[in-house]
Parts: sequence; structure tokens; C-alpha cells
Amino acid sequence: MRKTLTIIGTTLSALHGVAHGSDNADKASLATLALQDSDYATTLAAPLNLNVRNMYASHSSHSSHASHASHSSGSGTSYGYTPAYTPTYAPPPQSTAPQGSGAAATGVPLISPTKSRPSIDQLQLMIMRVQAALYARGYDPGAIDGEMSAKTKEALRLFQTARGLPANAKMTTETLNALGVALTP
Amino acid sequence: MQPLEAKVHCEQWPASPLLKVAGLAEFAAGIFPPERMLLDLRDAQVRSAGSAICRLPWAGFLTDVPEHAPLDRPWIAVPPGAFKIGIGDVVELRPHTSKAALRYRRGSNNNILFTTERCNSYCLMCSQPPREVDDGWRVSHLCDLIELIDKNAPSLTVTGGEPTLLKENLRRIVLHCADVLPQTHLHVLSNGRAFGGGIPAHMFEGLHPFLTWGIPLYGDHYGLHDYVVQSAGAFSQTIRGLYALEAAKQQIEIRVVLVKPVVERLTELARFIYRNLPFVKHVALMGTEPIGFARAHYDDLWVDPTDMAPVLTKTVDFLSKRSMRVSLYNLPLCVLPEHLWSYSSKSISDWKQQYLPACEQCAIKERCGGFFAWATDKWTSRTIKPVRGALCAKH
Repeated sequence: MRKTLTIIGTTLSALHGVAHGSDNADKASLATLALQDSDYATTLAAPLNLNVRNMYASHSSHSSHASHASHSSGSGTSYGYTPAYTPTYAPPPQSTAPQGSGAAATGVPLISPTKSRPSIDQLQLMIMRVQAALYARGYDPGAIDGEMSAKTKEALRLFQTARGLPANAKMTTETLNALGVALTP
Repeated sequence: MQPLEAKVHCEQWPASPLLKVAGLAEFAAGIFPPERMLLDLRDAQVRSAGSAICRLPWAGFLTDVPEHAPLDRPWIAVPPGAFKIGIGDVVELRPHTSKAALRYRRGSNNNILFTTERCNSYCLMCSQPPREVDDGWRVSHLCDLIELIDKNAPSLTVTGGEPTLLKENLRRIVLHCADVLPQTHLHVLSNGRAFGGGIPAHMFEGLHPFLTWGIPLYGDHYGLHDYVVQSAGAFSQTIRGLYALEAAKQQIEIRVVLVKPVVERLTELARFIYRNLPFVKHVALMGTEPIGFARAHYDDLWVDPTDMAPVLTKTVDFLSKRSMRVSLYNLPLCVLPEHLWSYSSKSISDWKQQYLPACEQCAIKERCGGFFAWATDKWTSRTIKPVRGALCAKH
């Protein structure tokens, strides 16, 4: 892909060069270098959250979950956050192929979530991350506290509008991609 | 020059952890778990974001004011001027000696994975003299580090010592990079001798999407190469290793350090490479780094780059006319003929790179790689001079 672009760019600039008549040789050698460089180029093609199911997308209001009734919000002395991550390194199995060759190409989801609905802690953490991302981009989501407050929703709507996304104040995968928020771990 | 290690103040740390520095964006992204990150309380945005974030299970906090760190939680304070540590960087903390070392710098042009201090060669100009130590612990350490490196890091250099001495463990590291950093180019600096007998090159076949090997070759004759690397039999092992790597479909760069005996036969070496190793993707002709063994062997090694100009021009023209990519590293532009400027790269790692007072007036300073921070006068050139603007207008 990168190569094709380089070739197109080169052809265009070569045409341009004909008009000027001068330093064509320079351009040709630059083009050759660019082409050779493309062997070493890395291409960031995939969006952040590809083939990952988004269990947060349908969440619109913090109070809409019955399970939240008992949750005392705001004061938050302890988080009870459970890490989904194991820091110790385990040697990979011998047969592992380099990424990008198998699952991604055939469109099979890479990660299949075990639950379709997030736990309270997971949801709260995700909202906090969205709030932090909005805040870091100059929006005002109110306190970064894991509550889907009116202010947070307003900030989400403003962000979505600015990005040309449906302004539904929901944590859709497109919105999370645009915010740089990953669905995993 | 920026130091990569420094004394720091730290408290409450249980072990020797590797930690990634987090700002709001790193928290929001959720790519790295808070348990492996240091929240940067020096950052104004982080401080103004409220206290709920601080209650997350961060490994600890980075701060200028220890009182800002939440009570009974681990923290690090970096004294002013010790070293620059920023959001996205990875730092290794050694609490028992109150030392910290930067292991990954976001945005740096040369981040390395240091595999071992051991080496099977003993090169005259070695910048990193080998030590016969058992440092196998580095393998799991590197795998931990790889997990904390930015996913969009453009490239990493695997170096040492001699990385292939790790044998199967080098494969493990490359595979882990392919899994965790599939978009990051990996450049392994090896003498290739192990692939000439010992370990099979094909164990790297198809392992990583962007893997290249940088293999030094110092002569068109075994006597010269073996002398420079101070190891009998090295030439034949490296040559066989190069063919083995080619057979395993690996991308190869030949690296030539421009020390006196090598420069004397540089055109012959170029011809040897073209005739016998036409498959190499790139030839790098590199100025000597004036540190390590090189300093002790100044008289045997040093050639002023000005005096190399004719042979460099001949060599570069020979290779490039035959469609072999060639680059010049570690040589300031003002000592090179203008014809060679386009082959020159800004190759010196940012943290150990500097300019000289004469460079302040130079019109092409931005294009020039400058000098190693440890270059003394006798390691620069007698013809260092600012290049005037008029010259540069042609480019």
C-alpha cells in the first residue's frame, strides 16, 4: 500500500518535473530512496479497538442500571478494582505465528468477552478513562470520578459533534477510538 | 548529552520494578495497567484532574513534592538536573541503591533492548567492551520492558554484547516483540558468527514482520577482518552466517566501521560485498565512536574523515551505481564532499549527541548528525567549519 502511494506520488512529481524541466535526476533519485525506505516503513492501519466487543456502548446513564442502586457514588473511599492483568511473563508457545497473519485477516474476533455487561468497577473505570480523555483534550467532563454525569454527557456530545460522530453521549467504539481509549485490558 | 541513570529519592518501594510514566492520556487509553505505571504528579493536568485518579492502584507516583503523593503509597522524586523523565518513558527503579535508569524514552530516535554484556569478539574499536558475566536475568527483564513500550514506537535496536549468545532466548525476545509490538521495526546488531555454525538461522524465519540484522564486515580478506575483531576464524563464521541468514529470508545490513586498516581496503571491501553478498539491503559506513577500546587504540584506528573523502566517494559511488543502498553514519557533513551529503544520516542517538561551538554558525546544522558527546578534539576533524548558506541553497 505504502509502495503504491510512493509510486503514485513519484509519478505525479515526475509529471510536475517535466513542466519545470530541471533537476529531474534529483527527483528520480529521491523517489528511488523513498521507494527503498518503504521496505522499512511501518504502517499503522488498524484502529485502536478492532474486533473487540464493546460492552460499554449501550450504557447511557449511570442510574439506568438496577445494579447500581446499592452503589454509593461520589465518596469513593475504596475502589475494589481488580486487575485483569497478570504482570509475570510466560514464554509463548512454540507454534505462535506472528500477529496479523491469521485471525485479523479472516475477521474472526480476537477477543471474545466472557460477559456482555460490565461489572460496576469495570464500568466506573471505563467512565473515568473517558472522562480523563475528554479532560486531556480540553473538554470539561466535570469531576473525573467514574460517574456518567450530565456534564460528562455534555462533554461527550460536544466531542462527538466536533468529530462528526452521532452525538448520542454514548461510549460507542467509534467514540472510544477517537478518544484513544482502548477496550482492553 | 543527557544522563540515563541518576540518584533519585524514593520511598515505600517493595522490589525493583520497571515502571511506565503515566499522564492522563495513558490512563485514558488503558493500554497499560495502572499496577505497572507511575502517575506523573508533576503534570499540571494530572494534578488538576482530581483525587479519584490517585486512588487507583498505581504502582506509585512521580513527583517533585513528596507531600503531594497519597499517604502510604510509593513515590519517586527526581532531583533537578538528574535526568529528564517524561510521560510515556519507562524507568527501572532500584530502591536499595536509590537509583533509577531510563529504559525507554518516548520519541527518542534510538531505544535499545540490551541483551547481554558478553561477546565472542573483542573488536579493536568496541564502544561497549564485553564482560564475561552471567546476565541471563536480562531476558525476562527485557520481556517485561517490551510490554511497557509504546505500541507505535517506530523502531528498537537489539544490541549487547552479542545478542546471539542468548540462543533460543533471543528468539523468545523477538517473538515477544512480534506479539506485543507488531508494528515496531526491530534491528538486531550481531556479528552473525553464531549463524556460521552453532545456531540455525532459520529459527528466525517468519518470526517477525519487521526484523533486520546489522552485521559488521571489516575486510575482503579473513586476515583483516579477524584482526579488527581480534578473533581467529571470525571472518569465515560471519560470511557463513550471512549466507545462512539470507537462506532464512532475513533482511541484512552490512555495517562497516571506518577505522584505519578498514579504510585502507574500503573499495576492495565494497567490491567483495557487491560480488559475494549482493542480497544485502543496506551498507552502512560508520565513523568510529570514541569510547571504550577505541580510545585506547587511537593511533592504530584514527583517520581524519577529511582524508577519507576520496575513498568514501569512490565506495559510495561504486555501491550506489550498482543499486546497493549505502549510508554514511557518524560523520559531520562539513568534512564530507557535498556530493556525499545525501547519503549521510543523523545517526547518533539523541541522548549522546552534541554540536561543537563552530556549528552554531552553520547553515546546515539541522541536517547534520553532529558529534558523539564524548568526542574530544582529536576525534573530530581538522576541517570542522560552519557551512555557509549559499552552499546549501542548491539542496
